[in-house]
Amino acid sequence: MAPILVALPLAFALLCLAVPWARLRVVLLVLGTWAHLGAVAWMWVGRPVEWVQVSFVGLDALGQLFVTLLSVLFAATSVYFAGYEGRTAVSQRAFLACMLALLGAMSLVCVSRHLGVLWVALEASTLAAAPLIYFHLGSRALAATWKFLLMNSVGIALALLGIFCVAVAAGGRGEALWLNRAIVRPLDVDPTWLRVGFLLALVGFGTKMGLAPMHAWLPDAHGEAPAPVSALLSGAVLNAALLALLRVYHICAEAGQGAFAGQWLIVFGLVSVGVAAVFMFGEADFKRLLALSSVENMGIIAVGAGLGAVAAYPSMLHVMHNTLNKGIVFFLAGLLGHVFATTRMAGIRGVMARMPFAGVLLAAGLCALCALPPFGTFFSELGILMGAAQAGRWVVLAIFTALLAVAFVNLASAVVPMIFGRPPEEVTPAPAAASIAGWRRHTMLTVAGLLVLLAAGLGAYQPEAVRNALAQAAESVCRPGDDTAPVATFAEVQP
Amino acid sequence: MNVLRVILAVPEAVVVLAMPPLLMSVIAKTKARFAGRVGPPWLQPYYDLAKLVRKAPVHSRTTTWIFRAGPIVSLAALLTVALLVPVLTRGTPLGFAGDVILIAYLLALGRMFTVLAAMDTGSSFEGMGAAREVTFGAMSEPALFLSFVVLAVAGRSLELGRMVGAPPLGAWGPVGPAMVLVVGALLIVLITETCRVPVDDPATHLELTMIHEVMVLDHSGPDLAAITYGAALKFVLLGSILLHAALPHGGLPAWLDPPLRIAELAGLAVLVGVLESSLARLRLNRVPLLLAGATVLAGLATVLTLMRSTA
Amino acid sequence: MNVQAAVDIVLVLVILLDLAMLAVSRLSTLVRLFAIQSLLLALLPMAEGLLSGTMPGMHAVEITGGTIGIKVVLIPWILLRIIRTGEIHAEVTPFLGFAASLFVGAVLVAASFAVSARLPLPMTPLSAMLVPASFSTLMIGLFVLISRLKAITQVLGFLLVENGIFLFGLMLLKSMPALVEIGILLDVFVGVFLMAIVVYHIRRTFDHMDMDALSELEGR
Repeated sequence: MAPILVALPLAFALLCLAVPWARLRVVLLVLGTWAHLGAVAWMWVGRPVEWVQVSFVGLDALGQLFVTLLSVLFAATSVYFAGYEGRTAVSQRAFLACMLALLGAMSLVCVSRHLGVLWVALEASTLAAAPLIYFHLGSRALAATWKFLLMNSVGIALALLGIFCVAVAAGGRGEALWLNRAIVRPLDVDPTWLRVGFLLALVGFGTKMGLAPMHAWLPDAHGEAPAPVSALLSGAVLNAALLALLRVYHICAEAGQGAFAGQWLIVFGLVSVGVAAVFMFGEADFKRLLALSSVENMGIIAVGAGLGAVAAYPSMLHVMHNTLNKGIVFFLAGLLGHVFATTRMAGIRGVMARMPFAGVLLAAGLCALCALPPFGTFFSELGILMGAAQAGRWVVLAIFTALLAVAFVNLASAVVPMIFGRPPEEVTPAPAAASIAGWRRHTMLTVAGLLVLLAAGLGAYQPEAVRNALAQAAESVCRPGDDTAPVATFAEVQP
Repeated sequence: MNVLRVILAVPEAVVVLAMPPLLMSVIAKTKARFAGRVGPPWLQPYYDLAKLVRKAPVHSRTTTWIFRAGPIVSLAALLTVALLVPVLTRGTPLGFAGDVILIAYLLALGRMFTVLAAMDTGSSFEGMGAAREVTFGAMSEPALFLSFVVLAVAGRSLELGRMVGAPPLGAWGPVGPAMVLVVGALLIVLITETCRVPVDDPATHLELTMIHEVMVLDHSGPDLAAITYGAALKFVLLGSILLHAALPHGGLPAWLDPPLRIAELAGLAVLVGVLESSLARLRLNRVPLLLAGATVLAGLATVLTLMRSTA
Repeated sequence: MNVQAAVDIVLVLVILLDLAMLAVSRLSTLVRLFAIQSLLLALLPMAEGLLSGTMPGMHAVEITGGTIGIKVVLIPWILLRIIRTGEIHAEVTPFLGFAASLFVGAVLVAASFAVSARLPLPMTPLSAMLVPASFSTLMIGLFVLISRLKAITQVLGFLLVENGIFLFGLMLLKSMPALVEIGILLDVFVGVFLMAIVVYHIRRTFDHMDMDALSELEGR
């Protein structure tokens, strides 16, 4: 079953390359992503957990969670893209094919059972995403593409070295790299090389994930890419790298190095949250601001995962909600970019007055990013904080809370004027506003609105299946030790 | 030291001291062949030396005793080095543990007096040459020292005579790659120290591009003879170190050594001649890169050797 | 000469080529040095088989063939083409002078040896110099990446990093599925191909390949 998830988008990508009509290609994009979503949905209802393992690919709980998020986001994005208009510098044919190839590559990341295959798929996703960033012509897009391509390739190369180190730590036995045959006896593993391997993987995958000292490419790429691509980068590509990192983390935890690895995850996570929180202040571009928010959220997830089993469940919850939120805000950013003909926040004012529905959605998106209660991010961040308290990591708790507060203030003070502020006099209503056809605007708004509904709904009420899936995913990141049963305590605050 | 050794040392010393001008002649002949000329007679360097010795020296009135001491001290330093370096046989007349340091410093002393004598004239050209000589010397010395370190570790001795050539081909076994690097580094040092083509051009006519030649412009008569002879001797000595490191005569009978070494030195001279004919002189600002390369080669060799000897 | 000594000499040559790449100023020479290094690396999987006294397996042949095809032929060909189309800017412009970079490179090599001496391997590699050579190549690649400004030298830095990792991966020759190795090679190839396209566009847009000009993003 799992190979279908990879093969389906790739087949549609080839179809896209072959079909001569531009309109039909967009239809194919939508069909491809929705077929993918259908396959994923069939998996949820069809067979619960014991998936067929075809040597290199197969699904476990963690992979299932990530591939589902990926599929939902792509399905939404493809519809949104149908309404999004923009001239492409790369040909539309190649652009759409790359988008589908990206979906295929990232599905492979989610379903691969071998770290080497996972690496190949992840690098392939970098390569498929690079042309997407060069959507708008011009030197800035070019520079952003270059930075993305080079930094990610080098970063991922280091991660490959990290994977090799993990295999060396296991005495060169290849089984170490098979995820389903994880190392069981810690004695068989050389701890030094495992640590080296984890650190390299952290730096390498962290580059692609946007963790702080290595995040330099991220605001540029997100700022330059068209909005749907930014949504994919933030919501899906970063997740794929996160998944890869979690896989290595899991191996470390199994081999008895979980505390060491968690420590470094927390350090990088806190630095990411801090850097993002500080740089949000004074960022003039809306999409770059959102990119920094992605850095912040990846940092939050890293901290949560690093805390170990006590915060694994809320981390997975945060992964889910972050993906949906990123879709919402980037879709809105794309719409506003069209309407106001700029993505600079100074030029976007009074959204509520001009487009009430979009204003409401933007306010909702802001609430979601800032982790206000109806949205799931509130519960996930609260859960991570409680986990830190439960583990007795008071320093982490204090720093984390303070940084979250700074990020909250900076983000809100930047976005609130966009919603409620008075449009500056000198900014005439952009001529672009009239030029987008009504149906395009409605498509974009509808997709964003549906995502808001989904996010708020999942925040307010989680079906049993979702909760189980998250719990299982959390367990395959970090098995609860003998200390406490964290999921039970956390479930009390959950609606 | 037994009597036989002393008696045998005398002819060796005579050969070693008589050989240098002939090797210069070999280089000149090689270059001439490459240029399609016949070249000067084989004994031309000896005639030149004899002519210079017969002349009376001319000393500028602005110079002091340093100017006069320069060539003599340089030659004396080189002659002392000759007692410490194995040239034709495996042993050295005066070798002792740690003599490599003395050798390096004697070479530096000779250079220092040449430079001081050049600066003593007060000529701006000679000052410029002195500056270059000191710069390049300072950059080639690390390479020389690091090479000595490698040889010392490989030969397990601090005496040059035992360091080079003493262990038979065994030296090439475990530290083989390191020795290749050392030989490369030593070759670059040899070319720099003897002012040969990629670094310096002994035949240039332009003071601005000269390094070594410009420093000795004001010397004449016996002083110039000492300098010319010293340069040739330096070639023999450094060349011998290189050859002993590169081609240890481990398994061969001892009596074969002198003829073989003479042939090897001649071969080295031919090699230098070929290099001079086929290479263009480096731009002055690229020379440090070459010397840095030599240092890096020797440094890498050191790392390799240390890794092997500790492993 | 036995196989072990040959492997050692090949590894020393690899390190020397790393250092040479820091000292060379012509871009095309740089690319050729990379091709030579890749060729040397491609031979090593064969030596692994010879060393254990058996014929090199199918797996080793695949890797050797793939590496030669992609890293020795295709990638240098693409890069040389890119360089040749813009004959004017055929020289490297480093932040740091050549001699200084060479010294930094030497320090990096020494550091690699020191680091790998501190990290005892839980297995016996092809040669004791494999890990130091791999780390040296990797570190010098990273150094090229940060110290050289031209887009194409940065590509070469990335390729050096790749070569370093390839060397390290030789230890896992037996335990890595061939599919993965080929996938890695293909990824590198497509990556360099894309980078070459971007370099081409950068040159068309900026009229040169200096990454300095690209810092305009920051000033935004």
